[in-house]
Amino acid sequence: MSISVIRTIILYLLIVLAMRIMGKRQLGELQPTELVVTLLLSDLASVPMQDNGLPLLNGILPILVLVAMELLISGLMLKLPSLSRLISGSPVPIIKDGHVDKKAMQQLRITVDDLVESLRQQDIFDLQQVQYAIAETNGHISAFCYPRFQSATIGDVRGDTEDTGMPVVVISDGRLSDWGMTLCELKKTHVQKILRENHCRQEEVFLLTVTKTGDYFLLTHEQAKGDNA
Amino acid sequence: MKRLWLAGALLFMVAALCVVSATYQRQQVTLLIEQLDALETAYRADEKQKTLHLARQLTTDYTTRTNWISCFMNHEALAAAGETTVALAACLEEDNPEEFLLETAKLRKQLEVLYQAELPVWQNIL
Repeated sequence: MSISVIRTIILYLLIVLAMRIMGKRQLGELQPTELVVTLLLSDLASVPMQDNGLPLLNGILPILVLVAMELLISGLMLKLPSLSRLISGSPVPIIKDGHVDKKAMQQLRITVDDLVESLRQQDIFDLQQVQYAIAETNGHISAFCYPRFQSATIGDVRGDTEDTGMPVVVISDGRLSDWGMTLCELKKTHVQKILRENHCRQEEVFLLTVTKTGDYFLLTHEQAKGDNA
Repeated sequence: MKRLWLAGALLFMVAALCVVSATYQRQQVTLLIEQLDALETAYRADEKQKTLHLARQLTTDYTTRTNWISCFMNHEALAAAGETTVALAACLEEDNPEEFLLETAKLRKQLEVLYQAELPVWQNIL
């Protein structure tokens, strides 16, 4: 009996440590690789916990390998966007400018019921309110409403609400997003103009979001240094 | 970057542990097989006292040699071969040659399985 207790404590501490090492992403919405690791971890830990005939190392070693592989793959995904796209895919707009993209929904195997349910969970009960809906890589559907259906902010109350469109990520960690540029119908020359205006090169940009009307928000690596927690 | 290094270190540590465990297990099992060979040679030479001594020695040595192997091998597989080593000495004490030969062959097979168990060959992987 005491063996089981000690083994359980060891495995519990190891799993907590593993989740801590893998970072906060593991505790939120899961990407495909993270989901695989999380499912496998629980199974791997439970087998040697129940069977004292199995060496504890038979559970510990695979857990360590999974943690290492997850760290390696997520680290490489950060460095290689093509690997990231291969493993996690890209966000797919399923409502664009108020028009539902049936083809994209079929490709993603999302039914209208799934879409409507997901919108309801975001307090959107009328499909006509949605300007953009995007199926994220973790399976979540993000929605952006037309300005007239958005909750008013102090800024809105003070002046007229203008339809600026959804801010779309155009440069992320120094890399230009073709997907983002297509979504906000932006040309490369416009991005270069923004960079020139801000006296910085593409590699120096941590985040650049642009709306359809051309409003943008630019954050350089230098400015983002304090946000690396 | 820190996490990539950590991943590399973890994989290196696991790989090192795998190599060490496989090497250690093969070394210990090879020594046990050599002891079994010596035991059979003594039996064929009809040296009863020496055979009995070697059989008892094999039982003791099996326990000490597989002590650490149990950290990474299924306990049941190890216990089965351990029981056979005990049976060897018992067969000799009761002067049961047929059973002794049977148990010897059984132990050889069990030790061969133990020798192969940690080898990274396709048969084991699949």
